[in-house]
Amino acid sequence: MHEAAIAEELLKVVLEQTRINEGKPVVGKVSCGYFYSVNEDVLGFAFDAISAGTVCEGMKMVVEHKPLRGHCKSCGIDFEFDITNPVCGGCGSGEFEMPGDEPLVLEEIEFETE
Amino acid sequence: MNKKVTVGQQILSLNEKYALENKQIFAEGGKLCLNMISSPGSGKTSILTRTIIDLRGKLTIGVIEGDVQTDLDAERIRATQAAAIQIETNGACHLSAAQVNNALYKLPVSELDLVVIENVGNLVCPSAFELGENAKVVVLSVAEGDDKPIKYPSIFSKAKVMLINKIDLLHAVDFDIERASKDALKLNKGIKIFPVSAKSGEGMGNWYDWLCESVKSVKG
Repeated sequence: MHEAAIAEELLKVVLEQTRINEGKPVVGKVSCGYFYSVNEDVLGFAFDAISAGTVCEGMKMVVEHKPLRGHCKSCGIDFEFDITNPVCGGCGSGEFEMPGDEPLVLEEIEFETE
Repeated sequence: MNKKVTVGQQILSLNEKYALENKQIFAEGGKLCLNMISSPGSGKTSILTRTIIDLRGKLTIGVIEGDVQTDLDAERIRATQAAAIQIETNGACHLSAAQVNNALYKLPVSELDLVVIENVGNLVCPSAFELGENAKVVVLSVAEGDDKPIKYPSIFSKAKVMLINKIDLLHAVDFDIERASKDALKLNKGIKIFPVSAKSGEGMGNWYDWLCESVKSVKG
């Protein structure tokens, strides 16, 4: 339920954006790496709870999960992998570098205008 | 008519900022910092109290305790004469880097070799929040079952060490150390695995060797 902490920060950023953009925010697009373990339903529930009574009430949060990526030390390719099977998709080697998890980003807000 | 606005703002950037600041404090002081993560009741505090007592004279350890409520764990640490700061999260399921930063100013960091952050008991949320540590240590007790690495892969793939605790109970439970180890190694081939019993002391020597070695390596 760390989504509650994330929802709080999201609300702050969306409220800032409502001051410089016209309309009511209706959809927020969030992207993040695997290790943030963000569940879309839980984030939505937390955001609903804390945004009640604000201009963001009813806003929907959509989460895009970015895949884990590796750079193979054996064959040199960049590849995406599943956490349960961390091997190179090209040669099957388990020797690879991880550039780090993708950050948690509020990518876009959709505003409803008249 | 709806209008889409590109924002591109990083969330939790404040946590990253404090994590970086904590990392600098540890790096500049040549201190090792470990972030200990497990389910509630796996024996994190028992491992720490035994470690502090057994390594007295070799390593000076300070502890930051995270719990939803009470300072019971900090009291247990202080009973060993080690310094401990309790963070009560009042409901939050993880520690944040800002809370740790605040606690660091209350700990006598300059006198310590090792700072251990005992995170809130939870196998999911704490793995999403970097605290500035050198390494994560995951604790799995045999009573929890050997399927935890595949059920909660994030923390097992990020941790440098897995302590399998309560091996004194192995006769009473169906825990297959080989299975748990194989699954953890599949997720993370660099993970060091130490089966231990904080109660009997069995296996703790391997953990102590790793700790002493790791403290030495950050002292430079």
